[in-house]
Amino acid sequence: MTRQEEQSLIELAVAGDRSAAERLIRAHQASLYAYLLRLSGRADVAEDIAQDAFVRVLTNLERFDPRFRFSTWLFTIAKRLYVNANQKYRPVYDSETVGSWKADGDDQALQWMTDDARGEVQDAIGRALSGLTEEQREIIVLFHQQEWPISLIAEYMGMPEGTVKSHLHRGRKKMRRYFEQHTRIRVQGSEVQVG
Amino acid sequence: MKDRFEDNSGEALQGGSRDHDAPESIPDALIDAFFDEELPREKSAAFFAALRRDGRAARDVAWTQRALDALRRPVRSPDLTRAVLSKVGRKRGWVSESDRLWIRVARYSVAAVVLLTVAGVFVIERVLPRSAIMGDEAALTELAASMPDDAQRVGAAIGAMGLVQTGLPVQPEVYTQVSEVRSPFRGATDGLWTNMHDVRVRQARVVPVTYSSAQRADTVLALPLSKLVPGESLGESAAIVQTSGR
Repeated sequence: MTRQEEQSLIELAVAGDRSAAERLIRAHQASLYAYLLRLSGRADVAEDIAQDAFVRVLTNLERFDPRFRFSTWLFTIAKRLYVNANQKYRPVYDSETVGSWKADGDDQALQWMTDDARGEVQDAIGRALSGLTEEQREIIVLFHQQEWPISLIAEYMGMPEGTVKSHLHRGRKKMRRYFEQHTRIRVQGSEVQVG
Repeated sequence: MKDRFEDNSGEALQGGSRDHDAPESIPDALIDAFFDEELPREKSAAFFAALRRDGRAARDVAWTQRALDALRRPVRSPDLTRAVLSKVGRKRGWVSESDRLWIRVARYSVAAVVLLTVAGVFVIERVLPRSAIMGDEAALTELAASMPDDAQRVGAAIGAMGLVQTGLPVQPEVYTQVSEVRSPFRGATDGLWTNMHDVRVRQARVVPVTYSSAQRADTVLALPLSKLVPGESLGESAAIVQTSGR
């Protein structure tokens, strides 16, 4: 959807056009949900906040400044809601959990595998993201998943581009290390099973 | 995505150091530039060739790529449209296509009426300069505030023939027109008589006026006709009356 199309949809939605509002939601719900899911690590939280963000945005659509991107506005509101709700909804991956794989011990990693087998934890990427700082996680998601340019992320996060890159690079390295270790453990686990 | 960044990978291609200072090793900065999509197309071939020689870097790139592929894997998103539209609908309501059409028509109609009215007033004013529509009008608020001492002083200064106090309440929103006002002065039959503040004199022509109680002020000031100059404003003078007719 081009920005012009988006702008005309916004104008129609402001005038009370339900179908225009519906198209706006459909255009952005997947990316917003994915962003919130990766941020929070919880599907229920992501869904609640995404829904709330859309409601707020659509009820205040008259205030939208067309000089900016609609998605940036939507994500900003969603992020604010997430931060506010963060006290209420503790992320699945708390510091202790994160510490378990940060310890680089096979026992802890194997524990992850056991949890995984029980279906009590999320996928590998979710766990890898949980080992990052808030900033690293958000920047990784915005850059690699949402495909936002560095300049936009810097504006959105209110930090210099150099700092954004620094978080990006460190976060990526951490993720890589987690994936390396996690996969190695899986192979060992398979070997044990086969043996 | 290729044009998302400026090329700042040049430095990385020139050198830098990796964590593992093995000969021929690829600098971390270059790998970062690759994943930041800042590696220029013409340097990609050299980068991949270098990866073939640097096994550790190749493994790092492969694992990072694997992690990023997992991150980019589509997430199954719930459909929020129904719930959101329902909540928004309760807050602000939705308008059907036909209703929106009517609203649009109504808005255009109102705009057209306003434009036509303004244009009509303008035309009438041009054809009939002293018409009641755009006659000299002014609010009484300031006049009321300045009376009665100011009126006495100004009246004396301009040689006014007298002051009239009606004692009737002044309504701030009341405007007075220069027409149909009967002069309260005995013997003064012809005169221009108003209780306006800041009257703009359109022409130095005196018209018969009669005083109306509906157009009242606490203090009314008389101004000799000789003071009337076309095009000038009378400032704080509140009343104009013909004195020569006495």
